[in-house]
Amino acid sequence: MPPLLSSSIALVAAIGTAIVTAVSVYTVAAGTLGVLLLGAGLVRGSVNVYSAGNVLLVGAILFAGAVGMAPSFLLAASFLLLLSWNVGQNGFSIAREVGSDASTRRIELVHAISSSVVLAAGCSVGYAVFLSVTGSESVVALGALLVGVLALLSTLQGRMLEN
Amino acid sequence: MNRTNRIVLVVGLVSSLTGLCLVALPSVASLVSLSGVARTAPIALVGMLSLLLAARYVAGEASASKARRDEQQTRSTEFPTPKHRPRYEHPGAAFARRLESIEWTDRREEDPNERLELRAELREVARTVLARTEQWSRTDIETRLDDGTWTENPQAAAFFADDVVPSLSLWDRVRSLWRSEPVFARRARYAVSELASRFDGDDVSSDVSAAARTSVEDDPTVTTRSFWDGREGSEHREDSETREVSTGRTRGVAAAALGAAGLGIVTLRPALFLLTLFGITVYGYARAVSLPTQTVSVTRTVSETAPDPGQEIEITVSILNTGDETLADIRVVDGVPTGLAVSEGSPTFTTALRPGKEATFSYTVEAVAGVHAYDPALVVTRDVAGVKKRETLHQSSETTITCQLQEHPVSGGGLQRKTTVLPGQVRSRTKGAGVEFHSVREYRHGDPLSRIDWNRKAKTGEFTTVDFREPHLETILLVVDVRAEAYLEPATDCTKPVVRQSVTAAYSIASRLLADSTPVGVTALSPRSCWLSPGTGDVHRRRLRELLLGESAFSWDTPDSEFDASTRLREINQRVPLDTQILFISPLCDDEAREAARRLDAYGYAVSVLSPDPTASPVSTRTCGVGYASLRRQLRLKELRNAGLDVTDWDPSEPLSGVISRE
Repeated sequence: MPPLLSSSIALVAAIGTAIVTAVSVYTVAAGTLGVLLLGAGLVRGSVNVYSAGNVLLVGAILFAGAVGMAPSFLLAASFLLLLSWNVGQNGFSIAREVGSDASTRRIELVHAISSSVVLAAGCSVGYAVFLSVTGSESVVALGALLVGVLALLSTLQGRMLEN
Repeated sequence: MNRTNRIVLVVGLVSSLTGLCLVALPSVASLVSLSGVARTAPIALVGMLSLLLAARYVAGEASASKARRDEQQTRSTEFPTPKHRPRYEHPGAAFARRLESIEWTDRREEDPNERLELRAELREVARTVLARTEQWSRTDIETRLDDGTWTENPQAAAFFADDVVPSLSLWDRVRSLWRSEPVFARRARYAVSELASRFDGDDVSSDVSAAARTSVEDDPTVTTRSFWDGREGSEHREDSETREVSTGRTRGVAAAALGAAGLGIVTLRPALFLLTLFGITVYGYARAVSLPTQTVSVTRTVSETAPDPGQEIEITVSILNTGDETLADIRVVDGVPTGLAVSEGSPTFTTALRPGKEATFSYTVEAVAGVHAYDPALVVTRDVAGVKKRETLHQSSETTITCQLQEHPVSGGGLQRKTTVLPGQVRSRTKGAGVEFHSVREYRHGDPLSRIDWNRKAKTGEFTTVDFREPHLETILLVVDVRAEAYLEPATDCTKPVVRQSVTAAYSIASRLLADSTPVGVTALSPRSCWLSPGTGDVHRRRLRELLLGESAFSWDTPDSEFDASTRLREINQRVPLDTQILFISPLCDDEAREAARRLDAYGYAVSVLSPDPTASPVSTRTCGVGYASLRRQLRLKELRNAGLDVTDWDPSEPLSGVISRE
């Protein structure tokens, strides 16, 4: 079972995601179920249940995006979910490697703060680019950016799996 | 990076740059204006492509996680938990395993072998038990077993009387929906509890204890070394004590990001497409970040390196960041040896360290007999966001804790007579000079004058020589059973294997015999060979103690290699002359141990058996697993006694001296 601090941060962030995405009945349902599963996974120490909760929350975000939620809210929801995922996973790794006997507060805090900084930095740079692109009318520019982003994502991902 | 990847990367970079240029310079962008299909088709295409990619990642991830699961089944990748000793086998586990091998699906087989074997074995036991406890004739027993009138318990009666694959009543069928235990296994439990209760006269419950059940499952990894070696097996290329591992936390983010992108493009929601940048951030970060080189030094100090048994020792470990980078996430698992159990504090520690800083943690272990050499400490460091980790084994300095064996006082009035040290010690078979008459034979040239029977010479005129029993000290060889099967945890004290009792007993007996100047040797019945020829004197005594303390055959961890006891016994036979007495110390909880005793006897040695009883437990907690093990063990002891061996049954909670003087 992941340590209390990581579990609470992950759960609070996930609840935040569910609240931000609550724009329709479906997203509310998926979000609530997702948070419940995620909490159950954290309490019972089961990574699979926890991941299932995360998948449901991803679904809630995608649906909210598809029905037209504002970009800034969508970004906030995703930021919270990624933070929850990252902190929760870290909690699981602590539970696996260290157990519950030693004090782990210090590394949990350092991890939570630094990963939120990394995510916030990445998403604010991207959001700035996005605002400037959507302001312009050029379809070619948009297309070129689309291709670029996808290609980068796929190669970087490929590299990660090799490592 | 392979060729395709490189091309994709170049395309991605060029395309992104073009896009940025067009955004920055709208005048260039307005030169190219698209309309109609040319305007929508490329965007739709990219959207579909990204959905396809997302699907591919999901599929890839699914197969990868399946592969990981398979891999985990074949070898242990669990992190070490050095706080406790390894789990030794519970005496009831053998029976629990037998029951577990019986499944519902056996019903479909033509010959359910597991079931037939179990029933044959139990029937054999039932015959012996009933013959001893009841006044029934042999045929009586057979008919009573067949028609189920040997007991009042319907379940136990049905085990022998009914079919191996019983036809199920409606109630049984309903019950099978929520209970995984087949009816046959349930009946076996009742039959065993009935038999064991009759044999002991005490009640034995029909449950398999929880301890026996957990004992059937996989063992947790305990030492850092075994964890390291278990991981090394497959793909690791480094030979050294360091390896880098991706934590795999970023898996799944790519699929989600690509899915969002595809959905965003197809549904024309730019906000969704925006989510891709989280994927880029996470992976870009994971690519860009490099793990800080692990520059940590670990020092371990021990409050006492030669403690007495039971003494608490404090271990202090300090970790110093010797590099010039901050280490945000350090996790340390100290390499506590198998035999030591942590009594206070924890051997794991986590911290974040700035350059030049030091952190210290300490814990307390309880000393037990043996030479305990510390394994290297396992240090795991991660980058700040925890996407990569590096595992290192830090062999700081050799730490060894030596704790002497506790000698049970094997003293008391009876011990002055040698026959009471070992139950049933035979007289010397060597004849020659001495006091006690042995035999008369004809004179041979060179016989001492004092032994010629002069009376007979005077009477008949022929020379005869009288032989006496030589007051010759027997040589004694202690054979300690330390096969994997003997590493059982006693039903009462669940942390120390019964082998430790055997070793302590061997040491106590050996030192008592050495005090009487009786030559004693030691060998282990174990895959890890160990031999000390019989001898006497202080040097020999010291060597014997060191051997019982430090030799790997007598160590705290269970041997895992395959072992054929008969070759080891043949070796003993080749090395040891036949007039040596053998004292075989074994819990006798499996048939191979009994065979070993029988075989030594068959070689012609005078064999005594001292058997510490791992199944001894308070009456209230007797379960059918332990009851069955105890029953089988008692039958084995009886069989050995019938074969003329001297067998001493020893409940380890009693002092050894009491047992020996009782005999």
